[in-house]
Amino acid sequence: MSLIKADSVAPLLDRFLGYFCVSLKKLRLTVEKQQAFRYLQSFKSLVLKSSRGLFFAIAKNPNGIVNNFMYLCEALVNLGNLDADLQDLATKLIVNFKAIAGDFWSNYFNSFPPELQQQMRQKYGV
Amino acid sequence: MFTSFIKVLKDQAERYMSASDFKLLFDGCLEDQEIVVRQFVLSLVGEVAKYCPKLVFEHIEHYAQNLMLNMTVLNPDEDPESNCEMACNNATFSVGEFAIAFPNEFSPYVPDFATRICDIMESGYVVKFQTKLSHYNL
Repeated sequence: MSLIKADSVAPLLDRFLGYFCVSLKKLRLTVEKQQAFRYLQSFKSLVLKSSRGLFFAIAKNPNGIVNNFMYLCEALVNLGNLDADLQDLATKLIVNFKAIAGDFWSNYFNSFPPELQQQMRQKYGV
Repeated sequence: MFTSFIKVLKDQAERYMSASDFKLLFDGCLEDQEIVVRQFVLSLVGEVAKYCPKLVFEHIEHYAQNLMLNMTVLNPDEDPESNCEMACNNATFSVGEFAIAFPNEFSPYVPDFATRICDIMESGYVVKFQTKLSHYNL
């Protein structure tokens, strides 16, 4: 829905982002656990579409991700290879968030689970 | 049978479905009092929007209204077999397919659907959304 009307979805980001990211993670684990290869392509398609829609909404309402940024990071490091433009958007989003957080970033980032911190450093250089 | 047509023939199913009374049958199922009857058609209309969009283009408002009517969840005590939840899940899938198939025509419905989905996630009635989210505030 965000792909066609991001203006309407963006104000709701704070309400659904956390659930969305956690659900996507659970879905990925289910697909992997069951070795459900026949679902893998559908899952990848879902990820690409939903990630693109999500970035549309975030562009309209960047404040909407503040409360659930950790879940968003978790989703982004776990979603496999995104298209190049989406990967670029994800990197810019994280780098900008870090810049805006300024002096608060270190303490904030240290509150993330250690494994996620490590993945973020590797994948996004933060 | 329609589900099989669509799953197997995908966009080639249009020629067979257009020669049928599919809308009459769909509407009959959508109006049924039994959720288990409505469930199938709630996802099928999404498949039709995806693979045979011409067949539902004239009826977008009609299906949007029916999808919205079925996007509701009940307390697990009232819906122990999660039939309502499954119907809602199917309707939500179809909403996505309609949005992608008809971006211009479906966009007026997006605000209400998006809000409804948030309401459902926050209701606490759906097991998969019962995860307690910790907010990591700056």
